[in-house]
Amino acid sequence: MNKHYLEIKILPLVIFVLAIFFLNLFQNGVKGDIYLVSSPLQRAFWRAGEKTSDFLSLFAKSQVLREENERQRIQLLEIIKKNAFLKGLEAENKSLREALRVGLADNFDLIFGSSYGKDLTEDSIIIDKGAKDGIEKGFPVVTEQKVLIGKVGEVYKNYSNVILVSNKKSVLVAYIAGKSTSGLLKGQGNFNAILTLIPKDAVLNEGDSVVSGDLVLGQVNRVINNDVKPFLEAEVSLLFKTRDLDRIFIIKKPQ
Amino acid sequence: MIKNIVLLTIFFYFLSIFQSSFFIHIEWIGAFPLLTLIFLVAILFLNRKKIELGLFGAAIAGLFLDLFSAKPFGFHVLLFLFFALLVNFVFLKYVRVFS
Repeated sequence: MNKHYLEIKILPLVIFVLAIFFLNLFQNGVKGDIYLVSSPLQRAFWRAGEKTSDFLSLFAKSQVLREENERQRIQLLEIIKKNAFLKGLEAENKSLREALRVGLADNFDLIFGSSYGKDLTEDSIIIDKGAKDGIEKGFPVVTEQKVLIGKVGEVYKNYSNVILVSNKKSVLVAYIAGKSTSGLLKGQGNFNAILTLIPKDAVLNEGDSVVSGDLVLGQVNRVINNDVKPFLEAEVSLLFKTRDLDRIFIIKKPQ
Repeated sequence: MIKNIVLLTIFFYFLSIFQSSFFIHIEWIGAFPLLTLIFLVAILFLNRKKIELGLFGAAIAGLFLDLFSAKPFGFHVLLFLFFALLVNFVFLKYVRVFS
């Protein structure tokens, strides 16, 4: 056994590994160029993956889809009821905004982009907009439905890396819509997130919307009340899916 | 040997692209299969008597994993090299193949 390992010709391997470490000096350039070369193939695979996923889900999730449809029908009825109430508030809100001269929340400078690759080891994606498009580190990224999906991480010349809110590195302050309850939304990886540091006396229900500013994040899936811990926690079901990452908007800056 | 390394590089490049763009849509019980690791184990098994090729395979697979992730170059390379040595040790010591 030992002879087997002693016979390994180690020098070429050591040179190869050192060369790989040397690439760190040009990390942005190397990664940017490889992404540029790979992007047509990645786009094709991304679309093929979406279609395959749709096709497979027809078989695998027919029962789940039926239940989901029923749940969404009930939610739609609730939304219609709420909408009628909110229309009354809208007129009031408009006049208040004019009076207070508050900038419209949806007046963002947006850059349209699309994703075609996901990090293999963590919840982050590659998008086709980079430094040449005016992208900077920390810009928020949303879907068409104004669901916050994350923020820009590393920026390359033509591409950027977006750290999703479900990434384990992601932490942001979030609120429960319509209530004064706030907490910290921490990414758990694998498209999961948890809302922590919620005061014990907060009234929290399953289905409550979790927001950050004017952007929606998800819904409370399960409230965790552990007697040992001084705060409440809640599992949050994020509202974006892999398929939503195809068309995204990067918020450049509020106007 | 050089021919095999070139072939491994091409193979892991396409596999990484396929994994990061196609397979992330195919979720199974809340997880995505890491094809790179699965094929690396297969290569290590098939070349258990000639570990050099397996080690080069591990370094190349790690390189592409670093390339398509936010980690610095070398992180997955070292991780996979240790993994390859461990797997090779297990294959030689505990796995017997009858032919």
